[in-house]
Parts: sequence; structure tokens; C-alpha cells
Amino acid sequence: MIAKTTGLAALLALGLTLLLAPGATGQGLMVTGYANVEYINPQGGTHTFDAHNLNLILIGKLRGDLFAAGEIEYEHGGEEIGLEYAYLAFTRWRYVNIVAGKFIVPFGSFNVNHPAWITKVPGRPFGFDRVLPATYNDIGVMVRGGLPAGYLNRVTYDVWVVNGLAGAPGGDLRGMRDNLIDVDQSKSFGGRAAFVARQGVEIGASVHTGTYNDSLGLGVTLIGADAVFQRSGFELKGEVVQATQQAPGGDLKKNGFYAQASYLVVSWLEPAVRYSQMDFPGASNRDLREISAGVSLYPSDIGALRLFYRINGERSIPEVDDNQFIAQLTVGF
Amino acid sequence: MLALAECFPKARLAGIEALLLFLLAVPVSALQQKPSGADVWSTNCGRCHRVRAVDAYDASQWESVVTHMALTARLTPDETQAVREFLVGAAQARAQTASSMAQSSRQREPLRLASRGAVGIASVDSRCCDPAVGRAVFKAQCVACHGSEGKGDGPAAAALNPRPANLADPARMQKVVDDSLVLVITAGRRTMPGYAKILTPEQIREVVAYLRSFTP
Repeated sequence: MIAKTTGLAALLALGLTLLLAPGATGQGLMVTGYANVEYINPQGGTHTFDAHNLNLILIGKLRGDLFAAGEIEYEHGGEEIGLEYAYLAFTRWRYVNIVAGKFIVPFGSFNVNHPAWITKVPGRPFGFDRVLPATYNDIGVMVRGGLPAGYLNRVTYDVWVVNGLAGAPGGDLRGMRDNLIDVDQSKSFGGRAAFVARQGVEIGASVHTGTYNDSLGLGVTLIGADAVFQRSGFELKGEVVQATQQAPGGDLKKNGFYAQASYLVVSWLEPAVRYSQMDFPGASNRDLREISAGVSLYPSDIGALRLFYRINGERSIPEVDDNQFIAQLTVGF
Repeated sequence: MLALAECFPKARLAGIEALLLFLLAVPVSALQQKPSGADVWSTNCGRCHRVRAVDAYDASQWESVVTHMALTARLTPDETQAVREFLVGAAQARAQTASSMAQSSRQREPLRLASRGAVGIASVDSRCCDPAVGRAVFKAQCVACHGSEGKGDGPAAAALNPRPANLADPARMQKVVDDSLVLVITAGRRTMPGYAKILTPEQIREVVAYLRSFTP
């Protein structure tokens, strides 16, 4: 309830700021966003429709160098409401952009590129909800930019300091988000560096570290690498993340990985397949893998109908029958 | 120094010197080359999502979208400026064209408007139309979508719906008069942006002259 009220109040404040800023309405204030609705038929479960999310994004230039953006998310038919991000960006300097507020932590690729209308495969890959707690957003300051490295090639960087994850010793990282008002004196730091080539290649490396339990002085460090290759409608991408989480009984190592391939056969048809896995040593019910395969149909440049079958597998405990058929209608508007 | 000279005979030193100069010269020349807005658009926007049609937003909206996306994609300042000029300029040209057409309520046919100069396209001037000049412009601005041979198979084509026109198709090109091509290049159509703010009227005519060389 508090998060819901905070989210609505923050978006309202952002909207008022944009509307009341002198000349702001003439500088591209606009509402955009994305939405998706799903039909899920799980093996051995109840099939259901799910109005998974409706995200409204408000963006606009306040002045020449000052830009503001906010995104509010209604999940599962409005059952959950949250503020995905709300930040101000200062863009005066050529290679240094400053972002302050609540923002999506640009660790790796999937955490930023998670909206359903651009992921090409429904659902999150294993490891990118429990190891890297996507969507991981936090409050703080970030510096980011791109440096030329040849014609249409660039080296990009992001450096951030945020409140960081906070929670119980050895706890689930996903439950450690939403540290909106920092509960301790420790801040978390991170960064990502990447090389982007005009030939359709991007390679990046990320790190994020900080204390998640100040009373026991326990820290967590995430390291990751991501890569994508695109050529003539073909795309191959992958990402790996490892969390080293200090706990009273010793360090916990949590690993996640996915690889995804897709091919745009014609402008309205794109089959895709994804493999993902995660493993938590010592936590067998977290030792999972997934293969998703299916097609995306594009009736226009803003929408997609995805028809996928997801095979979930357990590696160190008896197999659970929880495969699913997913039909997803998604739009980015 | 003597030892160095012994280890590296003169010929080898000259080779190393040439290699160093080459390695230094390539990045410097690449850094000095101003990016084309069309190239930035075609090589970056489709990396994460399907390319949005250039007529999806008006000029002020594109201004905000470009700022938002340039931040997210961490474009370089020159890339940001180039894609801004490309998309915002196209939207401004489109608005200007629409305004001109609205003013001429009795003449709704674009080609008639073009012939009267109502949409600001250049009149025919045979002196300007050098296909060789048009070829250079085409390579800088059009190849990303239409491909180097004009077949509509450039690197950005796969992400566009509808796909770029095949300018090497004789049946298609025979049906289209030069003024119509000039109008489309100037004001844009569907996923294609207008180039009124990017190319001069003479350059547009020269591109049209070059397009004709695909189907002699």
C-alpha cells in the first residue's frame, strides 16, 4: 500500500513538474508505454488469462538540457502498482550525462530490455529474477555516456551509486529490492562498460557491489557479461550473471545464464528459442532450467502476438510437471 | 639505441612505422567522419525493438523520444545530433508538406501540387542532375534501408514494415515519374522519412537521376 501510494504520488509530482515547467508543453511532453495480456495454460494447473502489465511512461524535456522520465506499472489487472522509474537527466556535457532519481540499474542487458514487447520470448529467463532480481531499479545517481570508437562504433559506460539491496542474512535477493529510504549507512556501487559495433555486435561487462545487511556487515557482489549479435534479421544473444552473497554460514554462489536465438523470416513472422538455467548450490529447488520455443507474429510495428511453449526442468530434484503454453499479446505504444 | 637498431633493421623499422601510422590514422579518420542520421537510426533503433515508423510522432515528440533513447542507448553526442536532425527534420518537413497541401484545397493531387511548387520541391533543372553526385548522396543516406543496389534489402530493411521499396524493379520504376520520386524523398512516406531538412532540392534531383540508373 505504501509503495502504491508512493508510486502514484511520485508520478503525479513528475507530471505536475512537466506540465508546470515554463514552456514544457511545447517541448515534447508525451505519454507512451507498453502493455501485454497473456493466456497461460500450465501442465497440471489452472489455465488463466492475465492482464500482466500496463505501463505508462511520461517523458519530456523541461529545458534544453534537462529531461525527465517516469514510468508507472499496473501489474496483474491492477493488483500491483509500482513506480518503475522517475528520474531527471542532465545532458549538457558531450560525453557525460547525469541521471538522478529512481532508475533501472543498467546491469547487463535483460534488466533494461525486459518489456514484453521487445523480449521476443515471453517470461523471464531463469536467473534473471532470483540471481539478478530483474527488474532491479534503485534510487541514486548515475553517470553514463558513449564515446566514439570509429564510424558508428562506440564504447559505452554507466557508473552508479544507489541505496542498494537490503534484507535478512542469506535471504532471497529478489525480496531485497525497494530499499527506497536506505535502511543503513552503506551505499552500493556499480558499473557497466560495453563495446557497440555497427556490424550488429554488442559486448558488455557489469559489476554491482554493496552491503545488504549492515548489522552483520554482509555484502553481495554481482558480476555479469552480456553479448548480442545481429545480422539480416538473425539475432543471437546471451547473458551470464553470478551473485556472491555473504551469509553467516559462508558465501552463497548463485548463477544464472540464458542464450536466445531468433530469426525474422518475413516482416510479420519471427520464430525464437531460449534456453536458461540457474543454480544455487545448497538450494536444490532453485536448480532449474528452461527451454522456450515458439513464434512471434507482428500485425504492425507496435504489436506482437507470441505463441510459445515453455519446458521447465528440475535438475537435482524429481521432475515437476509445470510446463506451460503461453499466448501473449503485447504492444508498445 | 644501437641495440635497438641491431634488433630492428631499417626495413623492419619502416614497416613498424607504417603500421603505427596506419593504426593511428584509421581511428582518427573514423572519429572525424560525421555520422549519418539515417545510419544511426538504422543501426541502433532496431537493436532492442522494432523500428518505429518515422511518422509515428511529430517533431516535438521525436525530440523527447530521441533524448530518451539516446540516453538509454548511450549514443555519442554526434550520433545523437545526427539522428535528431534526421527524425525531427523529417517530421518538420512532413508537417510543412501537410500544411501546404491543406492550403491548396482545390488541388489535392500531390503531383499537381509539386508541379505548382506548392510543397516546395525543386523544379526540373537538367543542369543539376548528375547521377555521380546522386550516387554519393544515395550511399550516405539511402543504403541503410534500400541497399547498395536499391533492391530494398539494406541492413535496416528487415525491421521495417512495410519493407523499403525495390528501386531496381523496372516494372515499379516505369510507373513512377521523377516528380513523384522527388516528392517522396522530400516529404517522406510511411516508414520512410522526408529529407527536406537534410538534402538540398538539387541533391534530391541528383538522387533521382541516380535511381534511374538502376533501371536503364
